[in-house]
Amino acid sequence: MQTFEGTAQVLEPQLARFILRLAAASSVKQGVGSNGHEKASAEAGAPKPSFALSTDFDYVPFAAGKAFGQCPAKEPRDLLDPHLQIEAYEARVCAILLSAGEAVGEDAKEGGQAEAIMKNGVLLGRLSRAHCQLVLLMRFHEAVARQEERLTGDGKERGKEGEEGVVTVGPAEVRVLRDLCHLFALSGMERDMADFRARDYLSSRQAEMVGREVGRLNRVIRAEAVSLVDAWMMSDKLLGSALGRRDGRVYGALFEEAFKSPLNEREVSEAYELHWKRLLLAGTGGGVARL
Amino acid sequence: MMPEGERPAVHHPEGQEEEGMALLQNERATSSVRPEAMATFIFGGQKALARRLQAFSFIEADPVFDTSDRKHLDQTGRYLRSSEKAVHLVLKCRQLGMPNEQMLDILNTALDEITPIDVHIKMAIPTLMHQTTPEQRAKWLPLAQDFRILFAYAQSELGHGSNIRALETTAKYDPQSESFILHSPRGESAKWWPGGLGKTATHAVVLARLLVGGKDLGLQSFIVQLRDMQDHSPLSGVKLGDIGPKLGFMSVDNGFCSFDHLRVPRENMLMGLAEVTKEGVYRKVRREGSGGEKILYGAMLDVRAGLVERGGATLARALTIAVRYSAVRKQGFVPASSSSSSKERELQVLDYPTQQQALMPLLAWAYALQITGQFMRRLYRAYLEDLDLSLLPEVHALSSGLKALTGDVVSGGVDTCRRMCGGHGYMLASGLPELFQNYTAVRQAEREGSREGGGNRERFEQDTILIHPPFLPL
Repeated sequence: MQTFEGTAQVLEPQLARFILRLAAASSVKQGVGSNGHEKASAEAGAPKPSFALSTDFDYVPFAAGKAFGQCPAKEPRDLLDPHLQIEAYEARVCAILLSAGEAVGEDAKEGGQAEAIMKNGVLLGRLSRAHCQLVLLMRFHEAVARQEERLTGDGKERGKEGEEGVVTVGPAEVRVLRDLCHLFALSGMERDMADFRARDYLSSRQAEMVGREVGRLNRVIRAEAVSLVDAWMMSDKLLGSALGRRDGRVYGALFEEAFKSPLNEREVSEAYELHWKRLLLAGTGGGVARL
Repeated sequence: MMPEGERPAVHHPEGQEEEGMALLQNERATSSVRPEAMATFIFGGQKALARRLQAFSFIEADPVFDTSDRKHLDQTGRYLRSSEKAVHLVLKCRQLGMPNEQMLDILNTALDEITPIDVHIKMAIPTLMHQTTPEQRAKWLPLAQDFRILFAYAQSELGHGSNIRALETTAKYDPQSESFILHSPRGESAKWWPGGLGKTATHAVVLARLLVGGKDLGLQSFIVQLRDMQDHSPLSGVKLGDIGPKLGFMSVDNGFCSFDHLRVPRENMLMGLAEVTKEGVYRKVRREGSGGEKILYGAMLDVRAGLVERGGATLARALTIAVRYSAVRKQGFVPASSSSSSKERELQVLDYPTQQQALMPLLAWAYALQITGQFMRRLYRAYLEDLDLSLLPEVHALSSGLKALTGDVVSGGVDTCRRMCGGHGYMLASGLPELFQNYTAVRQAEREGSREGGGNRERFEQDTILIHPPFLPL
């Protein structure tokens, strides 16, 4: 039975424990690079760590080092670099991982590992969520990058209706997807800013920059928003909503729904005969029809 | 009564123009996105999109599947209608000779109703496939697949839910009669919550502690008949009913069930992983080479991918309503001084930065979840091809975290959409309350691992098998 209670106590610690085990198994000591180059060169030099098979956990060894870099963004435009965004999300997981590792390690000395895990449930939940948001961001970037490569690589015509009438996304859609991905990254940073400010990875000035950039991206996406929801192809029947009708005829639809209210089956409700009448006509000998 | 002509014109006849219609058209005209092109990106290609739309038109063309009556129905009415829909869907697909896989697809994506047999289809049948002996499969699977018996999956108890190792229902083996005696030791040991258990199921897969010769051997699953196959009345020794109205999920008879020394034949214990002999000897069974275990892992991945995708689609559905309405709804005026003309211009709600701040990031989330869910599904297909187990621990861990995060973001996001629709969002006619209730409830369909879990491989397998009955095509 999944409940919110079950979520907090069962699911998130599962992922967090896995990450902690990876961190324990990792013997590589590295700092999080200030701009990703250190990390890239470390990766090129050393063979891929064997403890995790996908690249989703590549940040783990870097959390072992205490030398924490800082986000290199100088102006708002810098924030629109996918590598910079991913590095920021990695730094955020690393910061939580460091705290969680320390806290669990300390508590384990007293009460054992299982109790230490239980005691740090809040921190482990943050660790799990931070990792998942990193993964979502990477998948989003990869998907958009594939479309960008398709458009630039094999000629731009591929984006238009193809030979067999195949409809695919073209340059305009891919540009919007790219902005949507930026918005995902930066609004997530804004929402959990404390995590990104941890260990001073992001400066307060950069934090302000993130907020302003989210505002700008909101306006960009706003202009495309109706088409972006239309694209999910939800029929009026499925939506079952007077407000969300495709044609926008909201107010008429609300009235039509109101007329279906069971209370409107009779002009005078039976509640009148049963109750209201006793009150309204109390002490009068019949009353007048109109005041 | 007023003469016809003097009645106030409250009723907008169908087709009457409203300003919002032009506003929405203008939004579409000024956007650079072609929705039909973007749809192929969202759903992974034109073929997949066509399949999806086909499933929806199958449902929408049939008045039995209509959902517009829902908001006026009480609990009994909802249950009656969802029962009607489930039976109609099964019989209609059978009549059309439709493959079960396609029926399942329709049930999952297009029916837009949680039915009393969802658990039978998605949990009980896979359990019968993977935790049984060949003899048990031969006996029970055809009955279940033909819907001649209907299963509930009875795990949670009144006093304990996710923490399955604390469950209290016992199954004591009696070698004399070669049967198990199923018993609920106290009130809070009653099974509580299982979907379809209250009024629909004829049988249940019941999780109970196996007691053999005074030893507690932990949880095992048992096939237990609950109701008479002629008149559907509860069997003696079984106390059975519906647990009452809920926030959502009203279309399903979530039930309670307690057992009073009910005898269950020895052959009814699911013996795919462990068995009890006639003489009362318990032993674990390793059935090598069947590949069943690997399929089980893969199936779990499929379930989790589906959860992430469905989260994205649910959020997108709420956003479709909230974004369109925010474009139609007007509120507040642009200050006359800043306007070039002297006339004041009324703003669309969507123009407000606060509205954008609430809705636009959620739109990004809907896309992110859909993309990631599709990625997981591709991973699942690749896995089915070479059955490489090495990735599983990390995929399992990641999918646990994603499941939790998805549930959290989507149920919060759907409610944000409702609030961003102002007072009208509070109307059931907005479609948002129903969506919120059912999403909050649908998250209960897949069960949890135990609290301690743990590093050891055996436990991981046990948890997976007990707790994540896979979701396979029938």
